[in-house]
Amino acid sequence: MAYLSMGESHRRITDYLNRFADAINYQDGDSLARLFSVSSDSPSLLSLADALNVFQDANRLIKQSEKFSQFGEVVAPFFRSLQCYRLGNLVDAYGAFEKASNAFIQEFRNWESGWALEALYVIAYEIRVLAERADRELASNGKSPEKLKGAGSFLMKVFGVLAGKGPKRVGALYVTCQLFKIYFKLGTVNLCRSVIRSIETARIFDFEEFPIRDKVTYMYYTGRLEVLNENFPAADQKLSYALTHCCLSKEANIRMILKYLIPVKLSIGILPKKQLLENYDLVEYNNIVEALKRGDLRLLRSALQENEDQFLRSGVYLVLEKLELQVYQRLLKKIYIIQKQKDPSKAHQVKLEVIVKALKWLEIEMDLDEVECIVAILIYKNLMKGYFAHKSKVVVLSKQDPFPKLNGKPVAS
Amino acid sequence: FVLFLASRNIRSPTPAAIPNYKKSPIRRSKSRWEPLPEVKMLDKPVSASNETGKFGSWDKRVIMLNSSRFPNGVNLIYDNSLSSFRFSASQQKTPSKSAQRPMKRQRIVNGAGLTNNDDDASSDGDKDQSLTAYYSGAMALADNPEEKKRRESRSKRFERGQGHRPDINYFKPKNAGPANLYTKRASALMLSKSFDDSANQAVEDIDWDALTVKGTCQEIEKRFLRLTSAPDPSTVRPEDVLEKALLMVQNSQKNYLYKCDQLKSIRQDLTVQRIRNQLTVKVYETHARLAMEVGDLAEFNQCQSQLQILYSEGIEGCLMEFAAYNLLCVILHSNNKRDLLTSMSRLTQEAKEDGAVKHALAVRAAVTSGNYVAFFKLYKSAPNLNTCLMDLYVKKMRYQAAVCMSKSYRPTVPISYISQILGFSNATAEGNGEKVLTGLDECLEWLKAHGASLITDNTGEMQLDAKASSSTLFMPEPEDAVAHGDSSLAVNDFLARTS
Repeated sequence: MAYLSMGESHRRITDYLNRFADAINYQDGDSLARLFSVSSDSPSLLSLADALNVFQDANRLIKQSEKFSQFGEVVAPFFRSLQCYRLGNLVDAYGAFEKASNAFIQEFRNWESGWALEALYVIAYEIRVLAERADRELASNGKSPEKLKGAGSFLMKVFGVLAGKGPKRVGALYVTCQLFKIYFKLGTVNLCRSVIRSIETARIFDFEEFPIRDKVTYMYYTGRLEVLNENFPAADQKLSYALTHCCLSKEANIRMILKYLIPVKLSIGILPKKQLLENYDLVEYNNIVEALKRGDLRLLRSALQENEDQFLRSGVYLVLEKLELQVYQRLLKKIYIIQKQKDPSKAHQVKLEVIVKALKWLEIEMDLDEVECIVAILIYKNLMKGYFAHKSKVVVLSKQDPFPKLNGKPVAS
Repeated sequence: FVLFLASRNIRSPTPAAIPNYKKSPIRRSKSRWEPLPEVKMLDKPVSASNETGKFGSWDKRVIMLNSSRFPNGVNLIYDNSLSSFRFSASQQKTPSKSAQRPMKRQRIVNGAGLTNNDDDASSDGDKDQSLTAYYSGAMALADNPEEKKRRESRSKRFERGQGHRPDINYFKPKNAGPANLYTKRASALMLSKSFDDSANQAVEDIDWDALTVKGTCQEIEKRFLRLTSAPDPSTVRPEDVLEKALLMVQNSQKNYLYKCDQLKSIRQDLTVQRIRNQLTVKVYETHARLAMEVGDLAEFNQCQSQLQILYSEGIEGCLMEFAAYNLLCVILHSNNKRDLLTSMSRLTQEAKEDGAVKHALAVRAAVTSGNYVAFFKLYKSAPNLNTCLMDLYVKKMRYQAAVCMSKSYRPTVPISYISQILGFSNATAEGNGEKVLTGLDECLEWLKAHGASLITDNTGEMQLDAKASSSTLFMPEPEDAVAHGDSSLAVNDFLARTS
């Protein structure tokens, strides 16, 4: 760092204080927002941080003038936070930032219109990001990472402030999404429930009023929750909403949505085109789609195992595993089709041993009892129409539509 | 207010400081903690630099309590060290009301913190009840440093028991990516560090090591008496005696009540002497296995959660065996997919190759797909005590199978076949006649109890009438249902009567 004089430091700090005071006095939300974005590493904030670390007594400057001191409760801790951030002390940076944010919220409460919402968004974002980084620091020092949890509590408070009748309420969805991100990161997704309930049932909120960006994010996360709970129709609806309303240029976001939408679609019998998987780098699903098309159980299992870690982490493993039944269905349908070609009159009767043989060709060893069980399950879940005659060990298929398509409905559970 | 408290003698709250103790503390609909009165914070940055654990010095804790982080506020009047610990503990447990319900369900799976923590001197571990006991005894006990130490270590255990989900040696190491930050061993490390590093734990600078009891009692057999105050060393057994005591219990022919009682006593003696080593692990493992064998899930979960902590501290034991039990619990007793995914994703390669764990994973696959044939095959070949855990799911699985078969088979299914694939008969195909009959009879009984329609065919063989059964099958009320609905209470009641 080049030598920074006291004079220059003094100038930078006063400059910031002036901009801060002006932003508030002229209700310039965008400018105010920029003044808070610590983690953006913007040159102006970084140079301010350097100045603070040189000057060391910024509080005196704040108290000097009425213009600045009225916001002292916000700015003083903010300066501390910025200093700590610059010095790489993330835990303290978070603590001070939370303090500054708290003071800001107290002011924000009193402002009538939503002019400062942009600034609030930045603060909410910074709270989460700084907390995450603080936790990383704590964990690397062998301590318990608890800042993100605290950030969650703080944001709940902010949500409370926004949940009112005034124009500020359109900000609630953004804060909600920040909360979702926190809960997903912490693994405490059950906490999403209360926030969701507030958004969806409170009369003050009209979903359509919220900004589109927030709606997409909201649907993405609630869609993911539905996937976790294996409510496929609901998951399909929400994730599809997110997909259709997501700006096409945001490829990374589209990829994230697709990552969860594809397993859902597969579960209701809709297969993606190979081109789609390629375009968005979701090639881990290639073999799974192939396996479904071919009725290749071996391929499905190997695909699951190959990407096991990834699927477990994203939480779609169980959903993909359930596709096994559809693969079995496809396999049996193929057997049926072949039999039909050979002898149409007898095609509707499939011997159990034929199925066992087919599985053997796929290098899957299953004894008669197990195959019989699979057949029974397929019939039970309406993937096959017909019945099983135990004595003769034959599957007797219905002459009409023996392998009903899913038609957008998930397999019965 | 901060200054006021920092300067006064922490041990004796004045009557003015505890107005709310008079009120009934049970069943608060809102937060337990009174809103924080306006406190002028000294202008000090919150520094974590000389804080080795959550509970450093008094200053830090006040700052922590004052932080806007705690939406429920805090009662600074509650001056005892316990207040902040218990507060943080409850803060962890109930960040919001909606969190309470899923926690309750997990009661069966992860007893950590929610069931009786080991040797918790307060009654029943239920938060309300222990707080009641605390409120009433607060004045009297506040002055006693022994009691303070008891409470502090008790609440530490309470806090630890419900830490993050098990961070165990057989789970993946730290560098598994930023996403695993919150499930890393780091948190387990921190827990073990804070436990051993007694110097920084003290509220006042009490030397815990000096206060740790070193037992002198030589009795191998000892009834369990819950401690309510500092133990008398002459009643506590030293480690070598406890080893003999464990052996005695393992070889004893007496019933579960006796063994459970003895083991709890051993556990308590270990805890008050802060002995945490392979012996401790062996004691918990023994108790867990015994509890599982008789179906005492509550006790099993308690031991299981203690074991997770001990394993995470690097103490040797039957990690794989209990990893398998852990998996089976998650699979069979909770519907929580997220927990299941987490447990599965955190298995190391080594764990995945262990026989017991493999078995547990195979059971999971069978349950998820409803494959009853695979399930009962696995039941027959289950290692260790996996059968005991599977037992609790057997009824459900059998019923699912019966319903499935009724829909898909026509016209009938031989009972002998059903009996065989649903794990009723233990005998092999050529087994001695007596055994085969027993299994078959059992199967018939079971089917009848669930409303199956049975017929005899022209060769005299019993058959399940599939079509008819599909409309007559039903799941009966559990016979062991207790009037108040909580069957586990009945067991605990029974155990309490150690005559």
